[in-house]
Amino acid sequence: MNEKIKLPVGLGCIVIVLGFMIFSIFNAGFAQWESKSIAGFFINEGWRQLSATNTVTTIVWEYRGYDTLGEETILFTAAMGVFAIGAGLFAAEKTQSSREKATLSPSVKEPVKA
Amino acid sequence: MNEIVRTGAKVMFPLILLFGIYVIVHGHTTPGGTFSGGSIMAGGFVIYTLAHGVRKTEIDMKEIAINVLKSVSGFILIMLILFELFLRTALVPTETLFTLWSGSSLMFFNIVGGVMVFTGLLMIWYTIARTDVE
Amino acid sequence: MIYEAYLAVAVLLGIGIFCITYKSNLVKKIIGLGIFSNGLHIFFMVIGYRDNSINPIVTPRNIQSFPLYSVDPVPQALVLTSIVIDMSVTALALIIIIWVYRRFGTAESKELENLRG
Repeated sequence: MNEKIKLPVGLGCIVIVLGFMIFSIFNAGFAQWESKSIAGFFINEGWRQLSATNTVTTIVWEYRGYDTLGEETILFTAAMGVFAIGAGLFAAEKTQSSREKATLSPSVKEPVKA
Repeated sequence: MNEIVRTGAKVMFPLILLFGIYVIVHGHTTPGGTFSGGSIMAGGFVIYTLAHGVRKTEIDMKEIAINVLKSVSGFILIMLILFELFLRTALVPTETLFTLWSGSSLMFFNIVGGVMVFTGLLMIWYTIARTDVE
Repeated sequence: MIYEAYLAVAVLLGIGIFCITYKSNLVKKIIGLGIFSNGLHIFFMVIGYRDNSINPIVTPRNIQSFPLYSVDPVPQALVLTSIVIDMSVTALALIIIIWVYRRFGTAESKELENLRG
């Protein structure tokens, strides 16, 4: 990204995020969240249907269980990705001497001035 | 690491694991659940590895057990989700409210999910820690 | 409504965006991403606050007045998922930074921008 457009784009992002937060603070929806939110059903019926006293756990595993399944998939995918790259690094460093481990392609040491 | 740090890590390690198992199993009555308990259990392993070094930890705890635990727990989770509708009122009674043996099929979900988070975090930690061993 | 919590969220978001855009080292950018995500999680959880309230856990003492005094439990469940996703992204980004350092010999974005070929 160019040096000239980095500053206005950064300031624009900050202004957009702060404007959204200030607008959402002074919105009138906070005083009536019990009639506008779905939490009334979870609080009243959650511990009666499932007889578990932790409401957050019943939401995570019973009413929104599909999201938890996707989250565990993401966790396993990240662990497998880390293991795949790590196995490649481990094999590559066994065949190199420790003196030249950090400079696998020595033609990149001097940056090219455009 | 010197002798005091190594002995302290060796003493603290089973207690941290026990506390993590407590947070996972009581996930349906107290705040906690899979991710908090899994992070605490992985933290115990991280303390042991930092004090003793990666080679000695690999000798002490085989990492084949980690791979087996990961695949077995994923398979049990899929089976639990598919058959949860039949297990719900057959396993745990739904009348008792404030004891440990309540909350139909939530305790099994928490145990399996805790094992999944714990093995995933351990695999990430060991792969990153092994890139520094000479 | 807590007005001091929104000020803390704004400070965290500002620090996060500053670290992502204006720092040159790659590890510092990942730290900024973590700070930004934590600020957003705090904002999402403070939304569901109610005056003179208790946590959403049923105990034998508050079983009668539980729907009148408890906090909104839905954002807490969604933030729990988001924390795990943020941790996975950080782990994958860190191992890629190790690979970039072994391959190119540097971990600064100013020198990596000038690579040719």
